[in-house]
Amino acid sequence: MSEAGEKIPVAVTGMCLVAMGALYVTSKEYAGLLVMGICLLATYAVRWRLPASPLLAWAIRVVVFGAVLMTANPERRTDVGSMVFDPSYTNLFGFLCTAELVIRAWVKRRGGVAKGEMVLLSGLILTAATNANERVAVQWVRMLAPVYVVFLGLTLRAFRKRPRSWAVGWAAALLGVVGIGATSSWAVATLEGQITRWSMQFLSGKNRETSSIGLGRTATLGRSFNPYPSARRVLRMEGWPGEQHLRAMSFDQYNGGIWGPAVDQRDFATVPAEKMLGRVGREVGMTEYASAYGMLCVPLETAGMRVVGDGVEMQQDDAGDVRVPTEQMSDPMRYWFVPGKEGYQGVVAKALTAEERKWLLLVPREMAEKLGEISGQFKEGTTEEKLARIVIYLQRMHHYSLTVDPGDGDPIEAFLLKKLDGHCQYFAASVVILARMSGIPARFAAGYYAHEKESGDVTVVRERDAHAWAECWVEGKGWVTVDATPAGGRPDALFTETPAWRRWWEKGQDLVAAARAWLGERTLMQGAIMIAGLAAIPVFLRVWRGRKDRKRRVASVAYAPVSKEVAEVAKRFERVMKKRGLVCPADRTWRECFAEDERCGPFVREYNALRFGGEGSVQGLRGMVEKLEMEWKR
Amino acid sequence: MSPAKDPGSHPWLRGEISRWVWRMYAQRLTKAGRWLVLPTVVLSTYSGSSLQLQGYVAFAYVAGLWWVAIVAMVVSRPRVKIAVAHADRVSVGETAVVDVEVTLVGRRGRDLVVIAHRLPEELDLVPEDGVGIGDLKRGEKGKARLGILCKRRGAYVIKGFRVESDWPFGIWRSRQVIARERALLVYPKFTRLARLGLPAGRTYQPGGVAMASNLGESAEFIGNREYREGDNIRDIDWRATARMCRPIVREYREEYFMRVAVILDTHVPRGAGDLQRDMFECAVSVGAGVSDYMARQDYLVDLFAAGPNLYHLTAGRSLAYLDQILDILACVGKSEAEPFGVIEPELLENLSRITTVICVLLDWDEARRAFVHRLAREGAAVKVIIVREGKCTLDPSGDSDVFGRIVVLEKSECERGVEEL
Repeated sequence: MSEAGEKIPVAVTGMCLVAMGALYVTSKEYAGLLVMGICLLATYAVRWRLPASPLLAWAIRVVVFGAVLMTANPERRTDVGSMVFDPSYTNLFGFLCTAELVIRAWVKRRGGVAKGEMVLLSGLILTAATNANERVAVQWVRMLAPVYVVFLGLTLRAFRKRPRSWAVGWAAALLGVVGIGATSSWAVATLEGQITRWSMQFLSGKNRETSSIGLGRTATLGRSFNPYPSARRVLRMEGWPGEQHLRAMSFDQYNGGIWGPAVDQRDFATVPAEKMLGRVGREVGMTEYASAYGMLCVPLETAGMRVVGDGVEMQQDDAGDVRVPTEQMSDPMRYWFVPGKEGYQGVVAKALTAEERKWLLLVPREMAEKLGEISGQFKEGTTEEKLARIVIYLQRMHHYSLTVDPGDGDPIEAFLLKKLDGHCQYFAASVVILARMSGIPARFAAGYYAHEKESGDVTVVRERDAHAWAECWVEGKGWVTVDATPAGGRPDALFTETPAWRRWWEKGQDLVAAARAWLGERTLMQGAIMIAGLAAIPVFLRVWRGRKDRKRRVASVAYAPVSKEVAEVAKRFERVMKKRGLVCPADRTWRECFAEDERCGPFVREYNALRFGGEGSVQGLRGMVEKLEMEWKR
Repeated sequence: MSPAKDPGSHPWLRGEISRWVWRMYAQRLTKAGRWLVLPTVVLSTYSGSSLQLQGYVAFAYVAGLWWVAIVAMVVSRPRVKIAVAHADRVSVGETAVVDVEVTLVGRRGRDLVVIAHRLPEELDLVPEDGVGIGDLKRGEKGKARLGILCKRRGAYVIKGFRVESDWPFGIWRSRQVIARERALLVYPKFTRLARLGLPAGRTYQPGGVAMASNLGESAEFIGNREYREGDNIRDIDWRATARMCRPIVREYREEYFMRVAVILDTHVPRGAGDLQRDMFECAVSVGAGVSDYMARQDYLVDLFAAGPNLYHLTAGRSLAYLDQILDILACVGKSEAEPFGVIEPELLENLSRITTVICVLLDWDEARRAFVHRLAREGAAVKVIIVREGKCTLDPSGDSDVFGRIVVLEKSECERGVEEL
């Protein structure tokens, strides 16, 4: 990259060698890096350089890069998510950058050493070298980084020829850089865990804990529920315009304010797609943008389901929870369900066995004793009457509140005995406990309450619509949803407005997603045709515009050439005028001489329009001359 | 774009944000800084993805480099006074020399560079990145010589100069802008005409001054004399030369001053391409060449040009000088409407005192032909010069019997330089 004989500045060479050294000590894969370093240093000993021919440079690149790529054979590491972070690939990339740097160092270049390209390439090599987390490699990177930045500083100063400068001040500035770098990297290393947590919390909404909205591994009755309601879209239902409880998971074990069992400790069995299909009918399309543990949100009355892929996993017992296998999870996730009529017992509402029935009536003994007085009110009547009385009791005795302070001890006991205000989890849990004490099998369900209509029969569910309710077994009917939360505490009453900008943003997201899905379905040939078509559009526009401009220029700059027919008519007109003794002087135009004349005026105007504006016809003009001839003859 | 240019003159930089970004990129960042931006972005992206990688270590040091450079920019901002000297008028293609004397009034100035501030698009700074004057102490003076290459004719304003410092690493500039507006007129480029054939009209200056002092080409022959260096070889009397065996020239003398009008066609229609604009520039250059020729002879010159304003200047015989004609020709712009409607009344008012009219036209069509015919009918001798690439709308040779030979100049001839018309 230099003229013959011109040496690369020492600072530039130092910067490149440090970056190459860092890559060598962290990768240890490429002994060729040593050769590259020697080649770079050899530019000081040899004055000869390769001629500045792009063809030659590319030929060398093809040979060198080809040799490197053929011999490197990087192995993809399974424990690294992206190829960009796979050391075997980043090391290869760094080595290719090194080869490019050395090639450029040996090729002649007008204007001397291209320090800018050296800065860029060495920066990329150093970046590749930093992809290491072994202890020794980390120590090397930490040691070489300040050395690199010192050489980098020297190189940057060498971009412009400058007179001798104030060396002490400059050295102090460089020292400051090293100090800032060392302090910053030390601080980051020390606070690594904290920074990671902050970034997870503030930079990525996707990493927000789902337990805060009651959709964690377990359902814990906390002091607050969904304290920072987010309007982030989690579900989109196409084909279901009404309000609906969408259950994501259910819990049947209660212990000290925690509903279990934990989702990741349950037994799920894979169910083939055809078996899961259930009843065939009108499908409701679901798009799940944010999923808790891969759980699918469907109503209790679901009659059938369909997912993209091989099938779903279904909980082994009566809970009816459905999830997709981890390897099938996508962002967003698409699935369909067939809605059943109210009370329909479909794929997620399984009939109870005797053992399951017994299990779903369990209440902790201490709690049963303490709440005996309350539950005694609901012993009489049919199941429906008992449930109705429980709901009425809870809504009469308690108010809705997003925060609750149950104090020490069991939160449900505190809620019921102290007549506290609480959120949906407290109402749902109370229904389950009181129903069980009244001899009704019940379970705790968590999910979303769908209510926000987007358009037509499309409903959007947001994170703030998270909700909890109870599911109770009614003899003769099966599972029913019992939501005791007061109407004012349900998501449809709490959250009615969504900002317009968010709706537009979501529409944009949907469009992009639809385009991606559509493109994904195209074949390679179709893709190539589309790209060619898209590339042709600007070419076509350019040509069309060029033609239009040319036409406009021609029309505005020069008059159209006189056609033979027009010239013939003009001569005929002049002859007629001459016969009548009307002659237009050479320094006057027809318009000046004849435009005011009643007989000739129309012809002159018509002629000018045709001659200079391209409007009108020769036939019309000829007719006008003939008319003039006839008139004068008369 | 060069850092010395005005971003407002670039069609892509109309918005405030785009201008600010451009200023940061082109004026605040140096070439070295621009090269450092990309590795910094790559490092920050890579290191920001995970703290498990050691990218953040390298990024911390590179970020330190930027931080120190930004702090130094604030601390070491130069405070200077400057004195500028440059010519007020130059021709197209010439480089105006600008001498700048910088006096440091603040604390120590390090790695100082002098550069023009917001030059118009038509002017280029030489060298593009300014001239370095090194370090200065308080009260110390430094000198820099810059060049401004003038690419197009026109009247420009040099808004001022900047004194910049990219200390310590040469990636980020601190600067002081010294706004000092100075005009710079860029004359059209022209070659000196060796000969211009002028037809003599019937109208002479009434009561004009007899016995013009210089050689003319009127019919009055006053005698022969020996050839002197600089005489036109066309004036050599070959018979007399043969008789005397040494070169002899014929000498003529005007009886009266000839008052010549030069009419410049400025009509370039809307939407015209580069060629039409170039031809207009050629026409201006021809007009300048003709005016220069007149100024060297005993002619009174009336220059008529319309676009965007009507210009009418009478020059010659101490009434005005060539510089003033060139000043007008530097400023005259193209007119989208036909200019003759504006020129004609002014011209006809003065035509009784004008002997000859030289029309520098961009085409030969009905309107122009009628205009020229009207001038001829009024008694003025007319010389027509058409500057056009390609064919004219009407064939000019058809009117040669009225106006003599109509000269048609193409772009290549104009660029080569016309010596004879």
